[in-house]
Amino acid sequence: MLKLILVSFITILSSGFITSPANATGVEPETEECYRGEKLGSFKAAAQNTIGTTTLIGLWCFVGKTVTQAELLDGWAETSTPFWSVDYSQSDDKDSGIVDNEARIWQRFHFHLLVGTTWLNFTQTEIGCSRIIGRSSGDLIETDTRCSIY
Amino acid sequence: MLNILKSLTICLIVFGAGCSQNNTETSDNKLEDLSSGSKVDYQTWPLAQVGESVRECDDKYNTITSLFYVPSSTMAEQSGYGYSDNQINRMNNNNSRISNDLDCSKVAEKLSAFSKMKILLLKQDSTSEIYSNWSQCMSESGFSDISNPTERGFHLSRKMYPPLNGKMEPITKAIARAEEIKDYEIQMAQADLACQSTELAPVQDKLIADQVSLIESAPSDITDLLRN
Repeated sequence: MLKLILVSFITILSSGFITSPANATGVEPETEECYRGEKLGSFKAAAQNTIGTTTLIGLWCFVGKTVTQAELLDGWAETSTPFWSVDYSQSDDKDSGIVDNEARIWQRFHFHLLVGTTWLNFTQTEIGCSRIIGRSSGDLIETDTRCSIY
Repeated sequence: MLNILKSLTICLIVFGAGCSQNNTETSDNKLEDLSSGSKVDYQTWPLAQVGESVRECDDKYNTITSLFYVPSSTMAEQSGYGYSDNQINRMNNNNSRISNDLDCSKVAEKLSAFSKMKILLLKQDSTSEIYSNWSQCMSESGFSDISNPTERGFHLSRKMYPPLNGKMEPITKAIARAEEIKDYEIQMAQADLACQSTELAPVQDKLIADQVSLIESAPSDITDLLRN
């Protein structure tokens, strides 16, 4: 019975019986387009050895040529390098906003070198940023390592 | 024609509600067992207060990375840890920034101390061994590669956002995936509660002892931050 209802429902929808308001008036309104983009980073210590990777996920939207939204969706760092740990509890180390009609999303990442198991064994901290820039035309996405929306 | 369509839609909703009712009853029984078996009261732990005071900032953009964050059985049943819902809300948000009014700079030092504490805890013998057992339990429940509770967030993040390899993804596609992952997240949170009940609860004294020991051995300024 349920199967019959579902088949009927799908048949009606696919028959083209229902038309959209835009088609009815003949005018296509400008719709908002939204995308997600990423910045994958390889994090190096001062000695140029890789200590981890970072991932920043951003969302941006635009209507026509105007950027309408910029949002940091998620960001995380990972490491499998011995003695290095990720510190993900940093405050005010991330932001997003629209500047010069560009969606700009950034986050700062911290890695700690801990050789041992006590407080005194924190010997080094490495800090760096990832940034996503989303646009409404041309090259839609660009990434860099700036720690600011400006 | 529209009336037929409307009737069919109502039929579908009624059928759907029936199915979901059955599922809820099954889950309730299961969760009742879980909560009665769970004897961990994290609010009494040495770091509970500081953890709670920074949690809003700690989780400003990532809801479940806190070592001490545990969902209630009701929340686990409805939304897991809340991560998928959080991400769906962000993806659907209409220019209203979440937590925009938070001023986390006021707790920056406390956050830093708390974070280092969490890193150190994972290096302590007892905590490390207990989390290894928890991880094994999670793996046996079908959730592998989560080596400790701080990894729960990353595990879901990786599933939520597979690499794009330089491309972009329409957000509608990401939202559809998030809706699918929500079911996985709910199952994971329920397995988590069960594993905490069997692997953490019986030995929680050891976990607490590691926390006390680290707080007492910290430099005085950090001890102050962690005790207040």
